[in-house]
Amino acid sequence: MVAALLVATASFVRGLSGTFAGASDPNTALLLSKVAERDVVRSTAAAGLASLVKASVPGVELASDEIHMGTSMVVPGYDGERAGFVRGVTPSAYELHGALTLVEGTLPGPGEVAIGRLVARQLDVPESALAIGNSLTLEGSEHRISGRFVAPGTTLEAEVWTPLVPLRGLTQRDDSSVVFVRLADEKARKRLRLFCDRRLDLELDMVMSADYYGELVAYFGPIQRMAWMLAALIAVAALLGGANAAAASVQDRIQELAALRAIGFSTGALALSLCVEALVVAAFGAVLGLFLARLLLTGGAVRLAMSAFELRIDPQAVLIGFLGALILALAAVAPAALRLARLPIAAALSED
Amino acid sequence: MSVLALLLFVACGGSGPAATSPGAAAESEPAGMPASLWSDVPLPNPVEVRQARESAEDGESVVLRGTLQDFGELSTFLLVDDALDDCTEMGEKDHCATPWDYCCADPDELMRLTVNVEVLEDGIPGDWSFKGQRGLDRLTEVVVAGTLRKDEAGNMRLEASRMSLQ
Repeated sequence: MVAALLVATASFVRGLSGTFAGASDPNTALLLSKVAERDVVRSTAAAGLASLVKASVPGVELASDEIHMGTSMVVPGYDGERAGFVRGVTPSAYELHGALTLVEGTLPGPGEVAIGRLVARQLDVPESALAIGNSLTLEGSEHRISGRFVAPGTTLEAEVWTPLVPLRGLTQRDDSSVVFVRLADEKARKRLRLFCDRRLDLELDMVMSADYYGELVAYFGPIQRMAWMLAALIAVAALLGGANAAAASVQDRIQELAALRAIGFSTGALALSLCVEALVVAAFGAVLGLFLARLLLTGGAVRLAMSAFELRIDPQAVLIGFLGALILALAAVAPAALRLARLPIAAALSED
Repeated sequence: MSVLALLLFVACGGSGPAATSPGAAAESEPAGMPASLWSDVPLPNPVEVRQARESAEDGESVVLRGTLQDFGELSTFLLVDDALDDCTEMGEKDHCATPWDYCCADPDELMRLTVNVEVLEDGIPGDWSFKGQRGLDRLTEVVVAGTLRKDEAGNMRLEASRMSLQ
Protein backbone atom coordinates (compact mmCIF):
# COMPACT_ATOMS: atom_id res chain seq x y z
CA MET A 1 0.00 0.00 0.00
CA VAL A 2 2.83 2.36 0.88
CA ALA A 3 4.59 1.48 -2.36
CA ALA A 4 1.40 2.16 -4.32
CA LEU A 5 1.00 5.48 -2.56
CA LEU A 6 4.58 6.51 -3.20
CA VAL A 7 4.24 5.59 -6.87
CA ALA A 8 1.01 7.59 -7.07
CA THR A 9 2.65 10.61 -5.48
CA ALA A 10 5.75 10.37 -7.64
CA SER A 11 3.69 9.96 -10.82
CA PHE A 12 1.51 12.95 -9.84
CA VAL A 13 4.47 15.21 -9.13
CA ARG A 14 6.43 14.08 -12.17
CA GLY A 15 3.36 14.32 -14.38
CA LEU A 16 2.60 17.85 -13.19
CA SER A 17 6.12 19.23 -13.51
CA GLY A 18 6.91 17.20 -16.64
CA THR A 19 3.81 18.41 -18.45
CA PHE A 20 4.63 22.08 -18.02
CA ALA A 21 8.35 21.59 -18.57
CA GLY A 22 7.57 19.49 -21.65
CA ALA A 23 5.73 22.38 -23.25
CA SER A 24 8.82 24.58 -23.16
CA ASP A 25 11.24 24.99 -26.03
CA PRO A 26 14.67 26.65 -25.64
CA ASN A 27 14.36 28.44 -28.99
CA THR A 28 10.88 29.83 -28.48
CA ALA A 29 9.90 33.14 -26.89
CA LEU A 30 6.50 34.43 -25.87
CA LEU A 31 5.41 38.02 -26.39
CA LEU A 32 2.81 38.98 -23.80
CA SER A 33 1.38 42.32 -22.78
CA LYS A 34 3.26 43.90 -19.88
CA VAL A 35 0.14 44.49 -17.82
CA ALA A 36 -0.78 40.79 -17.92
CA GLU A 37 2.05 39.95 -15.53
CA ARG A 38 2.87 36.84 -17.50
CA ASP A 39 -0.67 35.48 -17.43
CA VAL A 40 -1.24 34.29 -20.96
CA VAL A 41 -5.04 34.34 -20.61
CA ARG A 42 -5.12 37.95 -19.38
CA SER A 43 -2.61 39.08 -21.97
CA THR A 44 -3.61 41.00 -25.09
CA ALA A 45 -1.36 41.52 -28.10
CA ALA A 46 -2.14 43.55 -31.20
CA ALA A 47 -3.61 41.58 -34.09
CA GLY A 48 -1.01 40.96 -36.75
CA LEU A 49 1.88 41.25 -34.30
CA ALA A 50 3.29 37.94 -35.50
CA SER A 51 3.63 39.25 -39.06
CA LEU A 52 5.17 42.47 -37.80
CA VAL A 53 7.71 40.61 -35.70
CA LYS A 54 8.61 38.26 -38.52
CA ALA A 55 9.10 41.18 -40.89
CA SER A 56 11.00 43.36 -38.41
CA VAL A 57 13.33 41.03 -36.55
CA PRO A 58 16.06 39.18 -38.43
CA GLY A 59 16.45 35.59 -37.20
CA VAL A 60 12.77 34.98 -36.46
CA GLU A 61 11.91 31.66 -38.09
CA LEU A 62 8.25 31.45 -37.14
CA ALA A 63 5.75 33.62 -35.33
CA SER A 64 2.30 32.53 -34.27
CA ASP A 65 -0.55 34.84 -33.17
CA GLU A 66 -2.70 32.93 -30.70
CA ILE A 67 -5.73 33.45 -28.49
CA HIS A 68 -5.63 31.49 -25.23
CA MET A 69 -8.85 31.43 -23.28
CA GLY A 70 -10.73 29.44 -20.72
CA THR A 71 -14.37 29.10 -21.62
CA SER A 72 -17.48 27.07 -21.00
CA MET A 73 -18.22 24.28 -23.42
CA VAL A 74 -21.30 22.18 -23.99
CA VAL A 75 -21.04 18.60 -25.19
CA PRO A 76 -24.33 17.61 -26.88
CA GLY A 77 -26.06 14.84 -24.93
CA TYR A 78 -24.42 15.83 -21.65
CA ASP A 79 -25.99 18.26 -19.24
CA GLY A 80 -24.41 21.48 -18.20
CA GLU A 81 -21.48 23.63 -19.21
CA ARG A 82 -17.97 22.38 -18.72
CA ALA A 83 -14.86 24.49 -18.25
CA GLY A 84 -12.26 23.96 -20.96
CA PHE A 85 -9.28 25.63 -22.57
CA VAL A 86 -9.44 26.91 -26.14
CA ARG A 87 -6.56 28.07 -28.31
CA GLY A 88 -7.22 30.10 -31.44
CA VAL A 89 -4.43 29.44 -33.93
CA THR A 90 -3.15 30.15 -37.41
CA PRO A 91 -1.40 27.50 -39.55
CA SER A 92 1.96 28.73 -38.15
CA ALA A 93 1.03 27.29 -34.74
CA TYR A 94 1.05 23.72 -36.08
CA GLU A 95 4.57 24.27 -37.34
CA LEU A 96 5.80 26.08 -34.27
CA HIS A 97 4.45 23.69 -31.62
CA GLY A 98 6.43 20.68 -32.79
CA ALA A 99 5.16 18.38 -30.03
CA LEU A 100 1.70 18.34 -31.57
CA THR A 101 0.80 15.52 -33.97
CA LEU A 102 -2.56 15.13 -35.63
CA VAL A 103 -3.47 11.45 -35.22
CA GLU A 104 -7.00 11.41 -36.58
CA GLY A 105 -9.08 13.54 -38.95
CA THR A 106 -8.02 16.88 -40.36
CA LEU A 107 -6.88 20.26 -39.12
CA PRO A 108 -9.84 22.47 -38.20
CA GLY A 109 -11.29 25.00 -40.61
CA PRO A 110 -13.85 27.69 -39.79
CA GLY A 111 -16.57 26.27 -37.54
CA GLU A 112 -14.40 23.30 -36.62
CA VAL A 113 -12.18 22.30 -33.74
CA ALA A 114 -9.37 19.82 -33.18
CA ILE A 115 -9.22 18.32 -29.73
CA GLY A 116 -6.32 17.06 -27.65
CA ARG A 117 -6.07 13.56 -26.27
CA LEU A 118 -6.98 14.59 -22.71
CA VAL A 119 -9.90 16.89 -23.53
CA ALA A 120 -12.56 14.23 -22.90
CA ARG A 121 -11.14 13.60 -19.43
CA GLN A 122 -10.80 17.32 -18.84
CA LEU A 123 -14.49 17.82 -19.73
CA ASP A 124 -15.46 14.66 -17.84
CA VAL A 125 -17.21 13.00 -20.77
CA PRO A 126 -16.52 9.65 -22.50
CA GLU A 127 -14.07 9.63 -25.43
CA SER A 128 -16.94 8.60 -27.72
CA ALA A 129 -18.72 11.89 -27.01
CA LEU A 130 -15.90 13.75 -28.73
CA ALA A 131 -15.48 11.48 -31.75
CA ILE A 132 -14.64 12.97 -35.14
CA GLY A 133 -17.78 14.41 -36.71
CA ASN A 134 -19.47 15.10 -33.37
CA SER A 135 -20.05 18.64 -32.27
CA LEU A 136 -18.87 20.78 -29.41
CA THR A 137 -20.43 24.10 -28.48
CA LEU A 138 -18.12 26.89 -27.44
CA GLU A 139 -18.90 30.58 -27.07
CA GLY A 140 -22.50 29.74 -28.00
CA SER A 141 -21.55 28.39 -31.40
CA GLU A 142 -21.60 24.75 -32.44
CA HIS A 143 -18.31 23.46 -33.84
CA ARG A 144 -17.69 20.22 -35.67
CA ILE A 145 -14.84 18.10 -34.33
CA SER A 146 -12.56 17.66 -37.33
CA GLY A 147 -9.46 16.11 -35.78
CA ARG A 148 -7.72 14.73 -32.72
CA PHE A 149 -4.14 15.39 -31.76
CA VAL A 150 -1.57 14.21 -29.29
CA ALA A 151 1.30 16.16 -27.78
CA PRO A 152 2.84 13.79 -25.23
CA GLY A 153 4.10 15.34 -22.03
CA THR A 154 2.71 18.82 -22.70
CA THR A 155 -0.29 20.91 -21.63
CA LEU A 156 -1.47 21.05 -25.26
CA GLU A 157 -3.23 17.70 -24.90
CA ALA A 158 -5.97 19.20 -22.74
CA GLU A 159 -6.72 21.98 -25.23
CA VAL A 160 -9.27 22.58 -27.98
CA TRP A 161 -7.74 24.25 -31.07
CA THR A 162 -9.73 26.27 -33.56
CA PRO A 163 -8.85 28.81 -36.27
CA LEU A 164 -7.92 32.22 -34.88
CA VAL A 165 -9.97 34.60 -37.01
CA PRO A 166 -13.40 32.95 -36.50
CA LEU A 167 -12.65 32.75 -32.77
CA ARG A 168 -11.94 36.49 -32.75
CA GLY A 169 -15.39 37.01 -34.24
CA LEU A 170 -17.06 34.75 -31.72
CA THR A 171 -15.38 36.37 -28.75
CA GLN A 172 -15.78 39.88 -30.20
CA ARG A 173 -12.16 40.77 -29.77
CA ASP A 174 -9.79 42.09 -32.38
CA ASP A 175 -6.54 41.16 -30.69
CA SER A 176 -4.59 38.05 -29.74
CA SER A 177 -3.45 36.81 -26.35
CA VAL A 178 0.15 36.02 -27.12
CA VAL A 179 2.63 35.61 -29.92
CA PHE A 180 4.91 32.58 -29.90
CA VAL A 181 8.18 33.26 -31.72
CA ARG A 182 10.72 30.66 -32.77
CA LEU A 183 14.21 32.12 -32.91
CA ALA A 184 17.11 30.98 -35.02
CA ASP A 185 19.83 31.76 -32.48
CA GLU A 186 20.94 33.84 -29.51
CA LYS A 187 21.44 36.92 -31.68
CA ALA A 188 17.81 36.69 -32.80
CA ARG A 189 16.74 36.57 -29.17
CA LYS A 190 18.62 39.79 -28.44
CA ARG A 191 17.13 41.44 -31.51
CA LEU A 192 13.63 40.44 -30.45
CA ARG A 193 14.29 42.06 -27.10
CA LEU A 194 15.48 45.17 -28.96
CA PHE A 195 12.23 45.14 -30.94
CA CYS A 196 10.25 45.14 -27.67
CA ASP A 197 12.35 48.02 -26.29
CA ARG A 198 11.92 50.04 -29.47
CA ARG A 199 8.20 49.39 -29.85
CA LEU A 200 7.19 50.69 -26.43
CA ASP A 201 3.72 51.49 -27.80
CA LEU A 202 3.02 47.75 -28.02
CA GLU A 203 3.80 47.31 -24.29
CA LEU A 204 5.33 43.89 -24.80
CA ASP A 205 6.91 41.62 -22.27
CA MET A 206 9.23 39.05 -23.82
CA VAL A 207 9.81 35.83 -21.93
CA MET A 208 11.58 32.71 -23.10
CA SER A 209 9.37 29.65 -23.18
CA ALA A 210 11.64 27.74 -20.77
CA ASP A 211 11.37 30.58 -18.22
CA TYR A 212 7.62 30.89 -18.66
CA TYR A 213 6.89 27.21 -18.13
CA GLY A 214 9.55 27.05 -15.38
CA GLU A 215 7.60 29.73 -13.51
CA LEU A 216 4.42 27.71 -13.96
CA VAL A 217 6.12 24.63 -12.48
CA ALA A 218 7.30 26.77 -9.55
CA TYR A 219 3.76 28.11 -9.16
CA PHE A 220 2.50 24.57 -8.63
CA GLY A 221 5.39 23.82 -6.24
CA PRO A 222 3.21 24.06 -3.10
CA ILE A 223 0.81 21.46 -4.52
CA GLN A 224 3.71 19.14 -5.21
CA ARG A 225 5.16 19.68 -1.74
CA MET A 226 1.76 19.02 -0.19
CA ALA A 227 1.50 15.73 -2.09
CA TRP A 228 4.92 14.67 -0.81
CA MET A 229 4.00 15.70 2.74
CA LEU A 230 0.82 13.63 2.57
CA ALA A 231 2.85 10.66 1.34
CA ALA A 232 5.36 11.23 4.15
CA LEU A 233 2.60 11.27 6.78
CA ILE A 234 1.19 7.99 5.52
CA ALA A 235 4.71 6.55 5.36
CA VAL A 236 5.27 7.52 9.01
CA ALA A 237 2.01 5.83 9.96
CA ALA A 238 3.12 2.74 8.04
CA LEU A 239 6.51 2.89 9.74
CA LEU A 240 4.97 2.96 13.20
CA GLY A 241 2.61 0.13 12.31
CA GLY A 242 5.49 -1.86 10.83
CA ALA A 243 7.69 -1.25 13.87
CA ASN A 244 4.89 -2.47 16.12
CA ALA A 245 4.41 -5.61 14.03
CA ALA A 246 8.17 -6.30 13.98
CA ALA A 247 8.40 -5.85 17.77
CA ALA A 248 5.52 -8.26 18.28
CA SER A 249 7.10 -10.75 15.88
CA VAL A 250 10.43 -10.63 17.73
CA GLN A 251 8.73 -10.82 21.12
CA ASP A 252 6.88 -13.96 20.01
CA ARG A 253 10.20 -15.61 19.14
CA ILE A 254 12.39 -14.05 21.81
CA GLN A 255 13.28 -17.33 23.50
CA GLU A 256 14.16 -19.05 20.21
CA LEU A 257 16.30 -16.09 19.22
CA ALA A 258 17.99 -16.08 22.65
CA ALA A 259 18.67 -19.80 22.27
CA LEU A 260 20.36 -19.15 18.95
CA ARG A 261 22.56 -16.54 20.62
CA ALA A 262 23.35 -19.04 23.43
CA ILE A 263 24.64 -21.64 20.96
CA GLY A 264 26.94 -19.11 19.28
CA PHE A 265 25.06 -17.04 16.71
CA SER A 266 26.22 -13.46 16.90
CA THR A 267 23.86 -10.56 17.54
CA GLY A 268 24.76 -9.15 14.13
CA ALA A 269 23.80 -12.36 12.36
CA LEU A 270 20.42 -12.44 14.12
CA ALA A 271 19.79 -8.74 13.33
CA LEU A 272 20.72 -9.47 9.72
CA SER A 273 18.26 -12.34 9.57
CA LEU A 274 15.51 -10.08 10.93
CA CYS A 275 16.36 -7.46 8.30
CA VAL A 276 16.35 -10.02 5.49
CA GLU A 277 13.02 -11.32 6.71
CA ALA A 278 11.57 -7.79 6.75
CA LEU A 279 13.01 -7.01 3.31
CA VAL A 280 11.55 -10.15 1.74
CA VAL A 281 8.10 -9.41 3.16
CA ALA A 282 8.37 -5.71 2.16
CA ALA A 283 9.57 -6.56 -1.35
CA PHE A 284 6.65 -8.92 -1.84
CA GLY A 285 4.24 -6.25 -0.57
CA ALA A 286 5.91 -3.60 -2.71
CA VAL A 287 5.52 -5.67 -5.87
CA LEU A 288 1.84 -6.16 -5.07
CA GLY A 289 1.53 -2.41 -4.44
CA LEU A 290 3.25 -1.62 -7.73
CA PHE A 291 0.84 -3.89 -9.58
CA LEU A 292 -2.04 -2.16 -7.82
CA ALA A 293 -0.68 1.27 -8.75
CA ARG A 294 -0.19 0.21 -12.34
CA LEU A 295 -3.72 -1.13 -12.48
CA LEU A 296 -5.34 1.94 -10.98
CA LEU A 297 -3.17 4.77 -12.27
CA THR A 298 -2.18 3.85 -15.82
CA GLY A 299 -3.82 6.25 -18.24
CA GLY A 300 -5.15 8.31 -15.36
CA ALA A 301 -5.34 12.06 -15.76
CA VAL A 302 -5.66 14.82 -13.23
CA ARG A 303 -7.74 17.90 -13.97
CA LEU A 304 -6.13 21.11 -12.83
CA ALA A 305 -8.10 24.31 -13.33
CA MET A 306 -8.75 24.45 -17.08
CA SER A 307 -5.95 22.08 -17.93
CA ALA A 308 -5.21 18.42 -17.33
CA PHE A 309 -2.15 16.24 -17.19
CA GLU A 310 -1.53 12.54 -17.32
CA LEU A 311 -0.06 10.62 -14.39
CA ARG A 312 3.41 9.52 -15.34
CA ILE A 313 4.31 6.04 -14.02
CA ASP A 314 7.88 5.96 -15.24
CA PRO A 315 10.90 3.97 -13.96
CA GLN A 316 11.76 6.72 -11.47
CA ALA A 317 8.28 6.58 -9.92
CA VAL A 318 8.44 2.79 -9.68
CA LEU A 319 11.91 3.00 -8.14
CA ILE A 320 10.74 5.55 -5.58
CA GLY A 321 7.82 3.30 -4.60
CA PHE A 322 9.87 0.10 -4.38
CA LEU A 323 12.89 1.57 -2.58
CA GLY A 324 10.61 3.55 -0.26
CA ALA A 325 8.89 0.34 0.86
CA LEU A 326 12.24 -1.42 1.47
CA ILE A 327 13.68 1.51 3.44
CA LEU A 328 10.55 1.72 5.57
CA ALA A 329 10.79 -2.02 6.27
CA LEU A 330 14.40 -1.69 7.43
CA ALA A 331 13.53 1.31 9.60
CA ALA A 332 10.59 -0.57 11.10
CA VAL A 333 12.62 -3.64 12.07
CA ALA A 334 15.54 -1.66 13.52
CA PRO A 335 14.04 -1.03 17.02
CA ALA A 336 13.16 -4.73 17.44
CA ALA A 337 16.64 -5.80 16.32
CA LEU A 338 18.20 -3.28 18.72
CA ARG A 339 16.15 -4.59 21.64
CA LEU A 340 17.17 -8.16 20.81
CA ALA A 341 20.84 -7.16 20.76
CA ARG A 342 20.66 -5.33 24.10
CA LEU A 343 18.68 -7.96 26.03
CA PRO A 344 20.93 -10.35 28.03
CA ILE A 345 20.58 -13.98 26.91
CA ALA A 346 19.46 -15.16 30.36
CA ALA A 347 16.76 -12.47 30.56
CA ALA A 348 15.58 -13.26 27.02
CA LEU A 349 15.36 -16.98 27.78
CA SER A 350 13.27 -16.32 30.86
CA GLU A 351 10.81 -13.96 29.11
CA ASP A 352 7.28 -15.23 28.68
CA MET B 1 71.90 30.50 -20.59
CA SER B 2 69.10 29.90 -18.08
CA VAL B 3 69.37 33.44 -16.78
CA LEU B 4 69.21 34.71 -20.37
CA ALA B 5 66.08 32.62 -21.05
CA LEU B 6 64.48 33.89 -17.84
CA LEU B 7 65.24 37.49 -18.75
CA LEU B 8 63.82 36.92 -22.23
CA PHE B 9 60.65 35.40 -20.69
CA VAL B 10 60.24 38.32 -18.27
CA ALA B 11 60.87 40.79 -21.05
CA CYS B 12 58.25 39.15 -23.31
CA GLY B 13 55.77 38.96 -20.44
CA GLY B 14 56.25 42.62 -19.69
CA SER B 15 55.68 43.74 -23.24
CA GLY B 16 52.51 41.61 -23.78
CA PRO B 17 49.82 43.88 -22.38
CA ALA B 18 51.43 46.95 -23.90
CA ALA B 19 51.21 45.27 -27.28
CA THR B 20 47.48 44.57 -26.93
CA SER B 21 46.47 47.78 -25.18
CA PRO B 22 47.13 51.06 -26.87
CA GLY B 23 47.31 53.02 -23.61
CA ALA B 24 46.61 53.14 -19.92
CA ALA B 25 43.18 54.68 -20.45
CA ALA B 26 42.17 51.85 -22.77
CA GLU B 27 43.28 49.25 -20.20
CA SER B 28 40.63 50.45 -17.77
CA GLU B 29 38.02 50.58 -20.53
CA PRO B 30 35.30 47.92 -20.06
CA ALA B 31 34.95 45.52 -22.98
CA GLY B 32 32.59 46.69 -25.68
CA MET B 33 31.91 50.25 -24.66
CA PRO B 34 33.73 52.74 -26.88
CA ALA B 35 35.99 55.09 -24.92
CA SER B 36 34.76 58.02 -26.98
CA LEU B 37 31.21 57.50 -25.68
CA TRP B 38 31.90 58.25 -22.04
CA SER B 39 32.45 61.64 -20.52
CA ASP B 40 33.66 61.98 -16.94
CA VAL B 41 32.29 65.52 -16.92
CA PRO B 42 28.49 65.90 -16.96
CA LEU B 43 27.32 66.89 -20.43
CA PRO B 44 26.09 70.50 -20.55
CA ASN B 45 22.57 71.84 -21.16
CA PRO B 46 20.53 68.65 -20.94
CA VAL B 47 16.74 68.65 -21.36
CA GLU B 48 14.10 66.34 -19.91
CA VAL B 49 12.70 63.44 -21.94
CA ARG B 50 9.25 65.04 -21.70
CA GLN B 51 10.58 68.25 -23.27
CA ALA B 52 12.24 66.33 -26.09
CA ARG B 53 9.02 64.49 -26.84
CA GLU B 54 7.08 67.71 -27.01
CA SER B 55 9.48 69.86 -28.99
CA ALA B 56 12.29 67.90 -30.62
CA GLU B 57 11.97 66.71 -34.20
CA ASP B 58 13.06 63.45 -35.78
CA GLY B 59 16.77 63.64 -36.59
CA GLU B 60 17.46 66.50 -34.19
CA SER B 61 20.58 66.47 -31.99
CA VAL B 62 19.61 66.57 -28.33
CA VAL B 63 21.12 66.11 -24.88
CA LEU B 64 18.72 64.20 -22.63
CA ARG B 65 18.72 63.89 -18.87
CA GLY B 66 16.93 60.96 -17.24
CA THR B 67 17.03 57.79 -15.18
CA LEU B 68 18.37 54.54 -16.56
CA GLN B 69 15.40 52.21 -16.28
CA ASP B 70 16.78 48.90 -17.51
CA PHE B 71 19.50 47.49 -19.73
CA GLY B 72 18.91 45.92 -23.10
CA GLU B 73 20.85 42.85 -24.12
CA LEU B 74 22.58 44.73 -26.91
CA SER B 75 24.21 48.16 -26.52
CA THR B 76 20.94 49.79 -25.46
CA PHE B 77 19.10 50.93 -22.37
CA LEU B 78 15.81 52.56 -21.55
CA LEU B 79 15.93 56.13 -20.28
CA VAL B 80 12.99 57.48 -18.29
CA ASP B 81 12.14 61.09 -17.50
CA ASP B 82 13.37 62.05 -14.01
CA ALA B 83 9.94 63.45 -13.15
CA LEU B 84 8.40 59.98 -13.16
CA ASP B 85 8.52 58.30 -9.76
CA ASP B 86 9.93 54.80 -9.60
CA CYS B 87 8.63 52.38 -7.00
CA THR B 88 11.23 53.41 -4.39
CA GLU B 89 9.79 56.91 -4.43
CA MET B 90 6.26 55.88 -3.52
CA GLY B 91 6.75 56.58 0.17
CA GLU B 92 6.82 53.01 1.43
CA LYS B 93 10.00 51.21 2.36
CA ASP B 94 10.52 47.97 0.41
CA HIS B 95 7.42 48.86 -1.58
CA CYS B 96 8.53 46.84 -4.56
CA ALA B 97 11.21 44.23 -5.27
CA THR B 98 11.78 45.50 -8.82
CA PRO B 99 11.45 49.30 -8.55
CA TRP B 100 13.15 49.90 -11.90
CA ASP B 101 10.18 48.47 -13.81
CA TYR B 102 8.08 51.51 -12.78
CA CYS B 103 5.14 49.18 -12.25
CA CYS B 104 3.57 51.76 -9.94
CA ALA B 105 3.54 54.39 -12.69
CA ASP B 106 0.80 54.83 -15.27
CA PRO B 107 1.82 52.61 -18.24
CA ASP B 108 0.79 55.20 -20.83
CA GLU B 109 2.74 57.92 -19.04
CA LEU B 110 5.73 55.59 -18.73
CA MET B 111 5.65 54.83 -22.45
CA ARG B 112 5.38 58.53 -23.28
CA LEU B 113 8.32 59.46 -21.06
CA THR B 114 10.68 56.67 -22.08
CA VAL B 115 13.30 56.69 -24.80
CA ASN B 116 15.42 53.76 -25.95
CA VAL B 117 19.06 54.80 -26.00
CA GLU B 118 21.18 52.92 -28.53
CA VAL B 119 24.84 52.92 -29.46
CA LEU B 120 24.96 51.92 -33.10
CA GLU B 121 27.74 50.02 -34.79
CA ASP B 122 27.29 49.74 -38.55
CA GLY B 123 23.71 50.92 -38.20
CA ILE B 124 22.60 48.43 -35.52
CA PRO B 125 23.15 48.23 -31.75
CA GLY B 126 26.41 46.53 -30.83
CA ASP B 127 26.59 43.08 -29.31
CA TRP B 128 27.52 44.28 -25.83
CA SER B 129 25.56 45.56 -22.88
CA PHE B 130 25.81 48.66 -20.71
CA LYS B 131 25.25 46.46 -17.67
CA GLY B 132 28.12 46.88 -15.22
CA GLN B 133 29.92 49.43 -17.40
CA ARG B 134 31.31 52.53 -15.66
CA GLY B 135 29.32 51.71 -12.53
CA LEU B 136 26.03 52.07 -14.39
CA ASP B 137 23.11 50.39 -12.72
CA ARG B 138 19.34 50.51 -12.91
CA LEU B 139 17.96 53.84 -11.67
CA THR B 140 21.28 55.62 -12.24
CA GLU B 141 20.72 59.20 -13.36
CA VAL B 142 22.55 59.87 -16.62
CA VAL B 143 22.86 62.42 -19.40
CA VAL B 144 23.02 61.24 -23.01
CA ALA B 145 23.74 63.22 -26.17
CA GLY B 146 22.79 61.97 -29.60
CA THR B 147 20.36 62.07 -32.47
CA LEU B 148 16.69 61.62 -31.69
CA ARG B 149 14.56 59.29 -33.83
CA LYS B 150 10.77 59.17 -33.72
CA ASP B 151 8.57 56.59 -35.42
CA GLU B 152 4.95 56.85 -36.57
CA ALA B 153 3.68 55.17 -33.41
CA GLY B 154 5.32 57.85 -31.26
CA ASN B 155 8.22 55.76 -30.00
CA MET B 156 11.48 57.60 -29.47
CA ARG B 157 15.01 56.30 -29.62
CA LEU B 158 18.24 58.14 -29.19
CA GLU B 159 21.30 57.21 -31.21
CA ALA B 160 23.84 58.06 -28.54
CA SER B 161 27.20 59.66 -29.23
CA ARG B 162 28.21 60.80 -25.71
CA MET B 163 27.03 60.07 -22.21
CA SER B 164 27.86 60.87 -18.62
CA LEU B 165 26.47 60.73 -15.14
CA GLN B 166 24.29 63.66 -14.06
